[in-house]
Amino acid sequence: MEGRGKKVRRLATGFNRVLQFLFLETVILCSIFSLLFVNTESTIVLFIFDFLFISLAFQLIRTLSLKFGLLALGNLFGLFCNFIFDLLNIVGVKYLGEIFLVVYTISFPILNVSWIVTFWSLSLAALHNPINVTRNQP
Amino acid sequence: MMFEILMGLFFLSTVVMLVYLARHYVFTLTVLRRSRTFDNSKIVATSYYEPTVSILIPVRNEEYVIGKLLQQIAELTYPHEKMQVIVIDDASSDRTGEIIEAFATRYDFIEVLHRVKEVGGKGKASVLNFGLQFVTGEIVLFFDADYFPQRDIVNKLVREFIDLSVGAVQGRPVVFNESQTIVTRIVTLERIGGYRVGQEARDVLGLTPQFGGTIGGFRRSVLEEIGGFDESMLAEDTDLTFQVRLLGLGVSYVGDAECYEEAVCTWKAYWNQRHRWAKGHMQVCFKHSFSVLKSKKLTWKQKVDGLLLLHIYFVPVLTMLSFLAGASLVLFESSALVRALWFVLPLSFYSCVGNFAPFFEVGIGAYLDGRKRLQWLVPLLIFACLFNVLICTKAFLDVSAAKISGRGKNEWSKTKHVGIVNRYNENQLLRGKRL
Amino acid sequence: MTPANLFQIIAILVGTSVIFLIMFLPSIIELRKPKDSGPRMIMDELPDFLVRNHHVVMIPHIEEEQELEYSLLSQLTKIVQGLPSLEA
Repeated sequence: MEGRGKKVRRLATGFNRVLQFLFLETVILCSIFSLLFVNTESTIVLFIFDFLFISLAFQLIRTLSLKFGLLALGNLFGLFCNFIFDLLNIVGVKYLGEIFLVVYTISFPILNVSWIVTFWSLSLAALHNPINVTRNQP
Repeated sequence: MMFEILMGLFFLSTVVMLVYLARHYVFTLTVLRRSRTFDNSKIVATSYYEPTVSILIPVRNEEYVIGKLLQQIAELTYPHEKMQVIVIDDASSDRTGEIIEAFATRYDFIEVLHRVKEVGGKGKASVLNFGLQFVTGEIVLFFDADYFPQRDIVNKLVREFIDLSVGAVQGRPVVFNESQTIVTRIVTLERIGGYRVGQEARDVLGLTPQFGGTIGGFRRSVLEEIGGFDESMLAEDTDLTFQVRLLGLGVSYVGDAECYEEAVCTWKAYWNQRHRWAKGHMQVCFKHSFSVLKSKKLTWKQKVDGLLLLHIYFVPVLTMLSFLAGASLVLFESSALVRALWFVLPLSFYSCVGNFAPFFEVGIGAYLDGRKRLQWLVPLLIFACLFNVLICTKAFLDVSAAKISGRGKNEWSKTKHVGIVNRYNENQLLRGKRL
Repeated sequence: MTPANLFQIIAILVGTSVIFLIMFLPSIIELRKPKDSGPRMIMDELPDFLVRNHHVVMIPHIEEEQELEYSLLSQLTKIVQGLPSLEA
């Protein structure tokens, strides 16, 4: 009985590791796709998101798989947003001319941070853990 | 020539904002690490320290709330024989005086001081200075009339003073009317970012937590040495914080000493309150920046953080200037450096809110408080940020105009709360004069 | 401007609005149907006047929450446990 339990635990750990590796791969692929198919600035923003998430959210007490999963999801979401914004730029400039380029250049950085803030706030809610959350400590 | 000026302005302002961003990032990391490792030996060591305490409560026309506060004060767990509560009725025209008298008659540790109309109504600092003449306790704490503290708040605040290097303490306000309007919810987020993370990190790192004017206090000896509150300052609490710091004493933040407060619930009230804070803080900045820089009692870390804290209300102004300069440069000149800085700039937008906590700090603060969905409102902080840019710019122009013209003006500003509370908070600008 | 161009411009504007909506959707949901709107509990008992006057619903104390959250791992572990043993 104990041996079976140990086997299950080992299997679960192995499964977790595979899952985490897949998520990490997703993150790397998102960065590569962003560099190849969107633009450099979007890739930098993805790196900023990854840096913030790994350095801060990874310290919260939750399973590593969940954190990696959210990181991967964030990168996918960011890639999608950046891709849409880039398409918006291309189509907008084509039909509305230089005026749209001006508006886009000015607003794009703010748009780019907006998705980080939205995803960050959703991630923290997803990482909520009533058992391990601390109260104010003296 | 124009291009060089814009480039210089953009580069400098973005670098300054990056420094603030890095500062808040360090704060967030510090608090996160602390939340995982907690040492409660400090509580055990200080739990038997019970000095005499004087509590000052300035009131004006607070008939709806003062009774509730005094009832709570009467039920505090701190030994009543070591407490002196002084309620200063500043020329109230309603039943406030009667209510306080009733409590003073019933409880011998509660005293009342009445100021008549002729000498009253000159501002909170003036009232507190008047009250300070009558305090007898070793520690002096301050509470505003519309706050509702925990029963053991005095025990928690006072235990910090066992450390002789501590000159002041600050507790934590918790917004009670959080669900009232969108403004109160945004203020809640700001308070969480500023106190749960900002103040706590500054305390842990040995920097300068700020005394917020209420839910806190000082050693009586320190107040006597400083000479009380500077009545020419709009932000007399911030001024006192730095005066304590310049004496070489510390300000201790007590995160578990909590007190309910009523937040402003309309954008107009938010503007008035933040505008007053911004102006007051800028005044304190002009007063203390040089002293902080050349102080021999502060470490270089404390000096740097002190200067960053003093200049914090200039950050939104800087953000706006940076944005305008950057937009011009990006449109007409697209060098790699300009584009790189232009992309970093927006991260600072989410720093220019309330207590100046970036979105990641606010989010982590709400997480550590055990909030499940409050973080979903963090994106709304962009609107508060834009609002604060306008507020701080206006405040900067007002303060600059006052300095250039060399004239102060009397300014009466009342933060009005919807519902049961009329908060007494009048400010007066008397240039260079101390009453 | 041809009808095709006009359609595309409208599509761009709609698309942009949708993206903005997505950015603020969590905030809109929380504002319309708040599930975490109450003030945080900092004392064991609150006088009625405070709760009554502010029409608040207190959120529960963290340590009092009894519900457990099952992570993906727990659910998967259960599935794996149900699989036949390879050694048998």
